[in-house]
Amino acid sequence: MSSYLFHRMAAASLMLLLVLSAVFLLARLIPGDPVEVMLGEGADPVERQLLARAMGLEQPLYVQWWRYVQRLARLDMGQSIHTGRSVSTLLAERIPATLLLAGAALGITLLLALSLGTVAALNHGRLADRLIVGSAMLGLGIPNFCLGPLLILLGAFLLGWFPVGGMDHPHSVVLPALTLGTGMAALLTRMVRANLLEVMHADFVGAAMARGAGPVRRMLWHALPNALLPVVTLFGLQVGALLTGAVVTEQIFAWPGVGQLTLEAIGKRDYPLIQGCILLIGSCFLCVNLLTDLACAALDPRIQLAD
Amino acid sequence: MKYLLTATLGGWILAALATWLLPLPVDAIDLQRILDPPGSSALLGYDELGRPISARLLAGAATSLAVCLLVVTLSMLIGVPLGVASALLGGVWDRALIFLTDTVMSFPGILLAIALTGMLGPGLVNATIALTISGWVGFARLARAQTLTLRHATHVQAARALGCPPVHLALRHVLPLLLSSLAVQASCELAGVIIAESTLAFLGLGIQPPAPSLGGMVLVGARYMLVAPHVVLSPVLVLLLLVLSVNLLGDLLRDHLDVRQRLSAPAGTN
Repeated sequence: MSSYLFHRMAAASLMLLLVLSAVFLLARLIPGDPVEVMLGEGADPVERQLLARAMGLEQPLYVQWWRYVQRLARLDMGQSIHTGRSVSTLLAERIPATLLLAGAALGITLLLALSLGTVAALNHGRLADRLIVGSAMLGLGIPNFCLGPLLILLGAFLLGWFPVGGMDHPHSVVLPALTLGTGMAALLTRMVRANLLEVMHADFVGAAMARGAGPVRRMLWHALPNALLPVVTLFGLQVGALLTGAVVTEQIFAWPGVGQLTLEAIGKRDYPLIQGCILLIGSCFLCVNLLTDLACAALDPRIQLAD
Repeated sequence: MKYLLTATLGGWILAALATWLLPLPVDAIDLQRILDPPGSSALLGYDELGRPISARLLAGAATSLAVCLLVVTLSMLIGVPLGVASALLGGVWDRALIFLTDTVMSFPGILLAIALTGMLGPGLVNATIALTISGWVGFARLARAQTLTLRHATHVQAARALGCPPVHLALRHVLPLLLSSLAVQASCELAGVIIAESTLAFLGLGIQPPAPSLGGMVLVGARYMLVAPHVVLSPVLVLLLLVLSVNLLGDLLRDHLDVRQRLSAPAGTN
């Protein structure tokens, strides 16, 4: 276990370093000179030189990179050009909202996927199964930014149950979370259904039946836990989709999270803030993937042997 | 289902042809008809500036088809040679490619596109570049994995024994056998690219207004949802149809073309 753990951690830290470097190099992609972007065209040459020195731009690239990593280790991501406040503070303000949205979306996803997947597997080939598979197909195909307006039309205007946007009421999280969670729920439903159908005929379920376990107990107690492992893996991979989906969903519902901050930063060409947002989302993705792999190893002892 | 698929895809291609052959009134503003619902004068009504929605939908779908086909073609042109070459060469080259693809894949694709367009500046060209950068990886990995299994096939060994030069080997003896799985991969990727491209347009990072784009129409339509739901509903439904039909096309292609893949388990995942 410990060697697998070590292996996986080392790979993850290497990836994190790569993502850091990618984000660092991203700033070099900005068309034109970063100093010119900050000061605007026709700035005083003395001022430009001073700023270039203050930003360390006259140093060789690897020195700049090393300083960048050093500053990141202190969680110092520089200052936002537009507001003049530190990027980490701005990010910290927005993280709770995104966490709330992502958490709610995950909850809805799990609830939908586990229940619908089980129901579909129990009714294999019947009407309920076909309906669920069909709607999963639809849910998989619809982009977030199309589902959002549809849900607003339905839930906010026609039914009037939920607010259109913002996060002023406790139930304003429902529509954004549904928007964010549906794609993932559709994918997981299909996965749970397929795995359950596979596991349902395994020997140990037959053995449970022979011992007199009823269909519900067989399904929930014996089959479901064994069908969940690939679901955990997929779940981890899907968190990336969830994080980027949050950018779109927050935009639709005026949800004041990291995604909206990213787009505001892009709109105002606030480069340090863009870097900070991308770095935050990217490293979250890496961490979740690491945690997923570790969870899989903890759940299934066979995995360490394979590595 | 197949009829729906044929109709949508056919309509899409026709829309593209129509846009290139005859000028659609995409910028024809009629101030009297701002936000008019669907009716006798225009099939799908008018948008917030009094432009006919149907014409803009056709033009937007045509642009999106062109961009998506371009992205998939570019991805294939970059990914397939790299994948085939790294599998045939092996060694350091192979490991370098794996490292590169792993790195690109460690970042969610659309986030990469958002980051790149955010830095390079929004626009159609930059969106195409950004989508290609995250799109070639899938083709490279598929081509590599398939070539690794083909490398030991009898006909490839025979060609090599007869002194066939490597480029000839790749082009004449390996590539033709990859085509069917590449077609399946391309159709799968196409659906993803349609979503990604329209998402970028929706976020204001792709095609810039006043040029019509499906994503941009959803963005604008969402603002007038309360008074004129048809402005947002029509691009949403068109996009949904497009994505669904491309997905179905992928499934059909897989069923028809990919017989071999089911027989030989995916090898070369080392």
